[in-house]
Amino acid sequence: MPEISQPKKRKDMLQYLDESVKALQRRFDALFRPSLAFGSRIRALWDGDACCFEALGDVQETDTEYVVTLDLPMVNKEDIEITVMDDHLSIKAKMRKEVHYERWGTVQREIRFQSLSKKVPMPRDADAENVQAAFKEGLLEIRVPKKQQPKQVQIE
Amino acid sequence: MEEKDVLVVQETLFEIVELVEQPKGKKHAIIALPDAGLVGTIAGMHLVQTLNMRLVGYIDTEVMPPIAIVHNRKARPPIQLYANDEFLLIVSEIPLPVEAMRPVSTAILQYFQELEPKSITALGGTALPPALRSKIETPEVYAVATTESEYDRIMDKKIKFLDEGIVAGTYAIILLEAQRQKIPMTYVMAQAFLNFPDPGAAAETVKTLSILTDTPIPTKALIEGAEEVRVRVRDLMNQTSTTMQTSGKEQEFQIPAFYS
Repeated sequence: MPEISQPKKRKDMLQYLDESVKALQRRFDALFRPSLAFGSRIRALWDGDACCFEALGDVQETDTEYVVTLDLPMVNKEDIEITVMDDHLSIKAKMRKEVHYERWGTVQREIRFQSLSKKVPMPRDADAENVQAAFKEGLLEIRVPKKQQPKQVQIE
Repeated sequence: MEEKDVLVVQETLFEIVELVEQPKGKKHAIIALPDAGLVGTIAGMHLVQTLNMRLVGYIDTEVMPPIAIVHNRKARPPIQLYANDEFLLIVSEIPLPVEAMRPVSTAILQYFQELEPKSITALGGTALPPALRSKIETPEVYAVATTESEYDRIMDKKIKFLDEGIVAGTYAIILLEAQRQKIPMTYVMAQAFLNFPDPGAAAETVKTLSILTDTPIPTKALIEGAEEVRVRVRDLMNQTSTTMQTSGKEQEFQIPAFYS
């Protein structure tokens, strides 16, 4: 952990512990930020003005990559647009047909939803240059490799 | 519908209100609560439509969030009872918070003890990681029963048992409590996405319910309308995902330590 210097005196210990906890929190946030982006906050999953639903998503992490899965029902592959930004992925998809509500929720007015979208935060170690995507039966799978790949260690 | 307000059970933590009195021992009872892939909820929605069920009551508890669902200009608690001549269905329009799981389970089972249904079936999903679930065309369905007689019934119907595994959430409480009280019931679970609505899994549980109750229940409309269902229940799925994080649902991915 290069961010923290070792304590030289006992009185530095509390500060050292405090910094350690904060550093651990930062590492945790960086690691799980994509997962936290899905589902941990209750908020509207729709934008009536843009006639757009927010897509449901899931993130799995392996040693080598992040696998982002988005639920994109009523969507054709050719109508999906994926944009890789510095700190996030932006996904927009047009639905094959409108989803119509005559009296939508608290606004109590007619709304016709036409698309699904999602912004997925990218962790710092994501390799934005080599993102790959596949789409099958309404599920979009985006594979984001990690910049630093695992190294084998020889046992002497 | 005329509101009769027949109070069946009233205790400190919950009350069950029948707007239309339900006959004893005449109906198959179904529990369909929000869970992995919203399997129970989607199956419940389909049953209400396909079997022409009507709202006949509701369950309220002190520990449910302060939420009222407004349908046809009337406010109701989120846990509702639907019925036709053959079936009684318990559904919830919101995910159950952890603190409500035990009181609601107790309420449901106490109600069933009063009602003495012909059978009790709970419908739900057992979670698979998305990469795995997406490779499965027809999800497997497994059953867990609470009494020996119920095990025999499942065997006769040639439905697969969950031999080893973990059940988490409200259904775990209902299963354990029904077993303790020797109430015969079966939990039918289909392999499902954890955080995405899964109408395909819901259709498989409905097919199993159809076998268990010897009642033809078509699933064609559910399968054909699956994509639209996935769009329409996104909000409930999102809320349920949050609740499942606190109820340990992801533990269903795990293998029990004393695996035999």
